[in-house]
Amino acid sequence: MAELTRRGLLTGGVVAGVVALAPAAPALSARAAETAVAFHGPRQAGVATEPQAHAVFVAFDLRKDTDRDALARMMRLLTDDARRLTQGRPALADTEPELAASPARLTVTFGFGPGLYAHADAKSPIRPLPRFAVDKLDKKWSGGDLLVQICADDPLTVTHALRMIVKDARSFATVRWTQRGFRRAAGTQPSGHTQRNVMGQMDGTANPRPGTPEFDLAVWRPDGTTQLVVRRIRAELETWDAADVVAREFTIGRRLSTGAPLTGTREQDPPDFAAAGAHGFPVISEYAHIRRAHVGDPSLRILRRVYNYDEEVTSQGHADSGLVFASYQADIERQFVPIQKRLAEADLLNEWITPIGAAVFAIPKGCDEKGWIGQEVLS
Amino acid sequence: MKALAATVVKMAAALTTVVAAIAAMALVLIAGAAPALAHDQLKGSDPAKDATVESLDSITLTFSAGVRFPAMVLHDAAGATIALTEPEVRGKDLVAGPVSPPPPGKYVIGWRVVSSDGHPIEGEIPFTLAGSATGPATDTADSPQAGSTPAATEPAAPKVNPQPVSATEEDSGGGFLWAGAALIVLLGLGLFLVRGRRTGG
Repeated sequence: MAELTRRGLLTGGVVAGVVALAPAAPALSARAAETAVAFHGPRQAGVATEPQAHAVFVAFDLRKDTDRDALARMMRLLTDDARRLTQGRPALADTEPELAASPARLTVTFGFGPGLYAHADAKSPIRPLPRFAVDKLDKKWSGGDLLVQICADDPLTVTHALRMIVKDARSFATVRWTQRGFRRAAGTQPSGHTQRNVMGQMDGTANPRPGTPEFDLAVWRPDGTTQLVVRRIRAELETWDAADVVAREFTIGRRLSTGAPLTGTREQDPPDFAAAGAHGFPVISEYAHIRRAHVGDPSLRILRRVYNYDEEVTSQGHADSGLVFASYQADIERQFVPIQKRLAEADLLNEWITPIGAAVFAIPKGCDEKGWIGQEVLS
Repeated sequence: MKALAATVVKMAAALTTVVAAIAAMALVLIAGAAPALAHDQLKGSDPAKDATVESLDSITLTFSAGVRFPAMVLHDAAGATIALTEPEVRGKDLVAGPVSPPPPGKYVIGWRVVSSDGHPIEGEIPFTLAGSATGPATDTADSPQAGSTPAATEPAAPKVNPQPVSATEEDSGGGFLWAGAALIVLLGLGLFLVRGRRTGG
């Protein structure tokens, strides 16, 4: 009897809650619309979108019996979730529909790893990265058949979207790794401002600007697809703390304060790699990070869309911080690999960073109201 | 006698206080300057600074610790660059040598390395290569002026300091240390004067 009463109360409560919410619904959806990023289009959102403050990257391993047909079913489901959640609407069978009301610029971006193409009996447009000398990769942070990048300006929105996506993916795949990251909170920096990483450096100064022909050339392929590299880069903050400002600026080739190259005064000044100091040595070292990473041809640049991470502090007070490095480029082999090879050969920064995870994904094109992500690959 | 003894004791006490104060301040300053002190330094070189040598087979720079990312250049008096072998780190030594024996004259070694703490250090070492023009440069004896033979010198490098500078090492951390030392002396002197006036009164 007591059970029944309690259940009755609970049901009554839910009904009362729905009734109470109903009048407020129009106001909520109006606000949600303001902060929604369009989901439909020839290209997936979450690439050219100005980076939101919070992100989670989740990679899945497909179950053995997830074949091409199952993959198509899965991607229809996940596309539907993303389509609804990004527009501030609950997912189908959303257990916490209230959390969907504020999308906060939510984007859900899907990527296919080489393993997914194997499951689908299709040719993979990407292959795993070569081993770089600096890598100390951990399986825990590497690889994956399917990637979902979930970004929003609100961390609870990210958590809710992750929960919905994972629940719908579970019967097709297991979770391989989850990497959470953050940038400056929304509204704390002017739009388009370069953010800083946990080492204090400006990060992304040389990025192509969305909306320019250079961006489209470097990031998108003609069919609306792109390619993603995710690397987990641990920052060795204990030894970095021992390096003084001169050492840090020499290492990067930029001023810490302004982000300007050592040969300039403003962040966007082009670095003068030929400039020499009193003894004839280049002002920007042969081994400075910006010289090693520099790409002259705009079509060969990469789009860094990176997030900081900061996990548990050890009992000794040592940080576990770094970068969830995510870069988008039209062709990983042509654009990312040569840059990373140069950095692995000789980059002063290598003393203080350690790559501990690596994964590559092809980003299928976008879809319209009737389509689903991956349709051209899986149907 | 007693008054004199008392004065001596007072002065000794004052001195002890000042010494203790200086020591304490020095500790604070040294602790604050720890990263700067951790930089490696050039301990010596062969050829040595301002030395006159009879021949130049190789150049060895010795640092206080193993250094990384070395760069070394050799200029003649006209500022032209003499080709060197790739500088090689051997323990605490950095070794390079001229690709072909240069003619006698005044030279400057320019060097830059990255200290074990990541701080770059660089400097110049002027020296003179003695010996007759026909001595070590026998392989270019067919040329009357070995120094201007294109084979011996590469085209002048851009932005090379033509005047050999007297300073052998420049390090932005050094200025800070000197300023710190001067501050200690000044503070100590001030304390001593204040203390002296008090004990005097």
